[in-house]
Amino acid sequence: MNIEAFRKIEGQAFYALAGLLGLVVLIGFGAAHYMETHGHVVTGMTNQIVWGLPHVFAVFMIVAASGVLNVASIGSVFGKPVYKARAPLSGLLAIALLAGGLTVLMLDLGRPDRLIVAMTHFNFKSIFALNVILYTGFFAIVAVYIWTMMERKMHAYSKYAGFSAFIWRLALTTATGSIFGFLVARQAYSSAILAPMFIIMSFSYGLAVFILVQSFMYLWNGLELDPAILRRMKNLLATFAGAVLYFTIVYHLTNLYFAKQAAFEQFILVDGGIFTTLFWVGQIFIGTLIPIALLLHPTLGANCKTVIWSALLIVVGGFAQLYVIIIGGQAFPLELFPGMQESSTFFDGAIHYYHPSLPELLLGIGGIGMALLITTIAVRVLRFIPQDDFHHVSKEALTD
Amino acid sequence: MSNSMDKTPENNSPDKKRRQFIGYSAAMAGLAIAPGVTLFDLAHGRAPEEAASSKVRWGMLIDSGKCASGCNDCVSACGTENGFSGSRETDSQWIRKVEIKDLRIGQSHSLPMMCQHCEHPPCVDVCPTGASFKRADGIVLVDRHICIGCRYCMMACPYKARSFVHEELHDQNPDVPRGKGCVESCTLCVHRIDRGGQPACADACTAAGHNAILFGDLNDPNSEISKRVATLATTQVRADLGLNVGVRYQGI
Amino acid sequence: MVSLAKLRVVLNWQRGGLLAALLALGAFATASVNAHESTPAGRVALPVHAEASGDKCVRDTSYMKRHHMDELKHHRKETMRKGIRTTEFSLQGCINCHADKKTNSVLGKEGFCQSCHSYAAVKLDCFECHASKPKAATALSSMPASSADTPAIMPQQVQAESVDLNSTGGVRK
Repeated sequence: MNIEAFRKIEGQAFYALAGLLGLVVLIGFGAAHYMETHGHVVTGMTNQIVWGLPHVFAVFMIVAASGVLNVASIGSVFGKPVYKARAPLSGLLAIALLAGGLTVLMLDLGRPDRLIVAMTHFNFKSIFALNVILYTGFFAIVAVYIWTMMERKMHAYSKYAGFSAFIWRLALTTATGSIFGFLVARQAYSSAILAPMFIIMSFSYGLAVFILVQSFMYLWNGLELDPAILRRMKNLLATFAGAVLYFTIVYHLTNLYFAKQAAFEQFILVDGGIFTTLFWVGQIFIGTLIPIALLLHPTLGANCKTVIWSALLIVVGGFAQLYVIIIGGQAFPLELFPGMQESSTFFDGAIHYYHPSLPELLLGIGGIGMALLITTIAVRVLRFIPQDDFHHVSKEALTD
Repeated sequence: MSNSMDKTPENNSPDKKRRQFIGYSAAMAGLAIAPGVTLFDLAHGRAPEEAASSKVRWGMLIDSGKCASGCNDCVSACGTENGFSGSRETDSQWIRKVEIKDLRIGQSHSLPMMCQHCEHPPCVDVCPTGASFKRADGIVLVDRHICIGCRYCMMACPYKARSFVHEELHDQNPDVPRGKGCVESCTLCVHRIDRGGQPACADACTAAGHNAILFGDLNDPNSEISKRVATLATTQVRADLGLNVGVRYQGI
Repeated sequence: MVSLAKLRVVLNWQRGGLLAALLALGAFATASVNAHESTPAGRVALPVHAEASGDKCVRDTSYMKRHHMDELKHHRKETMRKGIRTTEFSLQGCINCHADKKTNSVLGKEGFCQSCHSYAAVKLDCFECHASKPKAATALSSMPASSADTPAIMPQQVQAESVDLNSTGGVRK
């Protein structure tokens, strides 16, 4: 096929993909508009479960956004060439995912029309307000970082920009984890371990998302990814997934040690219905054990498809984990009078139920669509596809 | 943070005329509620143009021994005053009756639960815009003009005192603005307090002869509430959090 | 890779930036699409509203036209944050005096607030939370000074004559 013909087909395919993603985004906006005009009464959220599915999507994307930048950090900060070639794509994905996540978070507000208020009134004691600054700064720093990588004249500064971005992203994920960690009221939160746990979650989710997007891009462009590259990434992914498991175990063990937390742990681990199922089946089995086993398997693990499937499972497990953390944490009733049985018209002392509604789901998916749309367009207009020197890579991978 | 929000622009030109007008309106007020004047003076002695002061700390003492299980007088009075009803999961409840039972000894109590008006309110700490704030006299409020409806305060409140307005509202009480997309909670009937009254729940409880809710100034050593807090065994709910709440309970 | 190399010739930095800017603009436009009510064809008619019930406003009309929101905002801060409940620039004061005799509201097609805000195409946000009708004269909780000039209308009547905020064009959103 000559170049012109390829370009034509490729161009049409791009518009088809962009159109499809655009539609997903539009549906998301439509859902948000519906929620805003009718009020949150049309969602599954209540005065008991105040944060719902949109927050699961938003937190996943925000956490993954900071994690996906790790690929760039490993390249720039720690000087690994295979990762360095992927640094621009990693920066782009970071920006795209954060934009998608924040859009979902913003459109779920009770008053999304007051976004400007959130930008002009700051309570600096609030970790949320701090996050507004960290998120905005993240966009700026990563944009500068990408610029230093893509503009030849700026290459010299790339390392410094990369280092700042790395520090900034650690602060950002710490703050995201602290949104929950600083909630003294609820048994599921109020724990310092949530901040490092969110950082390690971001490593895992971010790398999984990166692998998925990268594989799709290579497939889309009819390119073949050097298996050696994927092999290196898969070991890292397995390590990250294992680290998330470690933090999860520590988190629950800490809770189990405190007698006052026993009832909550009983709820999540044993008789919490959907939350227990999501924890054991979704997070632990599908999202952790299976992918780790697949990735570390001597023969299966070497297969590209296995790596891609494992990454997908880790993403699925990530959603399950955040659902359990965010919604499961709210479903367990607040304990106002320890040792007493409580009941009221406001559902004191009772497990709260949450039935996510379609608009919430569509809003969340719209956010993902937005992240992918930004990526698709940016990849088309600028050179974000990893530029590997293939021979060099294979040689390096073998010696490494 | 609320301190910096408290800063308002320095007095500007309209204020001269305003003071005149205040004079007139104060005089008119005096005439209009001649019988109420004594109440006004005794209760607070604060003129309309005078700002709430930190010399005062409003609080309530709830005697669960006098609070009957099944009695809902305070809750309905609150609903009437502030304009809400219903007990769906999406409906606002600024005050609710909680029935508690000690499983070890089988003893039961009934008590109203609402915003505890903490000295160190977690909702104020977490609010990103400063919409959640504590007034000088200890009343914790939501400034709906800058509330963006993020519901972080609802996550942070240990008492589940806050509600989110899930749908459009109509026919609000002119003194109690409420609307879709913002978070709200017990205001301690601040509009009544500013005019020398006391919260609707306390009024209703007294009017019905239960006398389970005592409202007053916790900072005034001579107030009834201070005397009782000083002499009786009273409880702060979730005292472990060290929030120094304004609503105290006795008999639990 | 070949296609990308070619593409870069076609789409250089500037064009890429332009495209991105256009997209961002498009996204913002989509996000801020508000259900604007249809406006009548031709020129927008001047606002018509009922006379106020009082003798004289707290300031002259030209001042109020320009500064009513500044004053209301200043007052709301004083009231909300400090508990200062003077009446000169209170929203309740405005409503008590300016509510339409027929509808007992400042909203509605000929409502004092809505008619002008529709004409000027300025979003009127107050009445999603604030009552648009004067407070019915009741006992303790009503403001003494303002209740004096509040028309004595029973709440039932108020409800019956109320204009549904939803059904009236122009203000919401």
